[in-house]
Amino acid sequence: MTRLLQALLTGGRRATCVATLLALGGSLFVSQASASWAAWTDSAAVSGATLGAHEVLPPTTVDCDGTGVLVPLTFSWPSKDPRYTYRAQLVDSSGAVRRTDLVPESGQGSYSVTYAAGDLPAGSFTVRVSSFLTGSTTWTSATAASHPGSKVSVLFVGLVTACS
Amino acid sequence: MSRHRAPRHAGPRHSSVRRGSGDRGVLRSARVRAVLCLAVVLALATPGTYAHWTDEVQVSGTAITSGTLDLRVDGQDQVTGYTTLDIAPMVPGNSTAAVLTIRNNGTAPLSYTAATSATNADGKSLGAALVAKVTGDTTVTGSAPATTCAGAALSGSAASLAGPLLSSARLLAPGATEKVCVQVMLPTNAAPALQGATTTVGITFTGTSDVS
Repeated sequence: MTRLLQALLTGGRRATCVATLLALGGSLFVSQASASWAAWTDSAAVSGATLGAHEVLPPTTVDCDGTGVLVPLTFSWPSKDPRYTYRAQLVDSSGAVRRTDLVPESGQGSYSVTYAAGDLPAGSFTVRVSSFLTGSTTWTSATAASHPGSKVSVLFVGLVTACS
Repeated sequence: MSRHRAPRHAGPRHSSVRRGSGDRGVLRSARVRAVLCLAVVLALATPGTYAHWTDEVQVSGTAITSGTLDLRVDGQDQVTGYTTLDIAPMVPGNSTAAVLTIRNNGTAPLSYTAATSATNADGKSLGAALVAKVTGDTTVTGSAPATTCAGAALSGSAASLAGPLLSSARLLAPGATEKVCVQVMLPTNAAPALQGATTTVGITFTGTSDVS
């Protein structure tokens, strides 16, 4: 301090420079220090709004009609949701899909698909009906409703189709 | 008798001249000057003791009352069981919307923000998949399950239900109200894994006293 004073009093340029820098630094520190203050807060809330996503479900049941010699078989199911399209698949005994039909909802109480005897695979088969959202093929039902059927050759009678 | 004595003043005059030049030499010393300066500063900085007369004039009757901060949504602090936004079941593309009235019920100006929360009890994260929109519409457009807020999204509003919904503070004068329309939508590309998911949504509005 004494030296600084001495230098100042004797007009030392270095000390003057240092003092100027100190003053500038101090003023910058003061100018950049942000003010802080406390604020009041109050909140209001709404709660309890429940949003749920739809779960696509298959038809409740699938019925079959038309047992006989070379009789077409009709598989039907009740409407499940007007936003659905139904996918009916004819699956043979090996698990291979032999035919697929898309049946969109159209405001009716039930829907069906009919297979001619010639279209049915020999032996036992199954008709599986699943659902998906019309316009969104990825939202499908995880399971399907199904009904078995068969087409067998009966001696002296011919090909007999049956809902079993 | 013939001895002459030198004048007495001759010697002293010479010595006083030398003494004078010696004083100036001392003052030129930086250390002495610094000490003298310090002494002057200390003398000026030392408070004196004075006696003086005093007099006073009083101004009375000034009443100062602190303001109040009271933020309301639909006229209440807590709206529980809010069902206006309810929608179930949603399919991709469905939306729901509701208009909320925000009121500064206090006497101090405030600015408010909003944040949302969405439960995830079934672990399917439906809340995170929903898309939000906040507008200044005073009414909703359309009907369930496609109710919307038709206007442009407010500045600083988020499109997600996870976290801040309105991050840009909106100023409300004392007694003022503002309507905000909140829309929530299940996007058309929502994952099939969201089927059957449920979430409960809450919106918290926080008002802060505004001193701007």
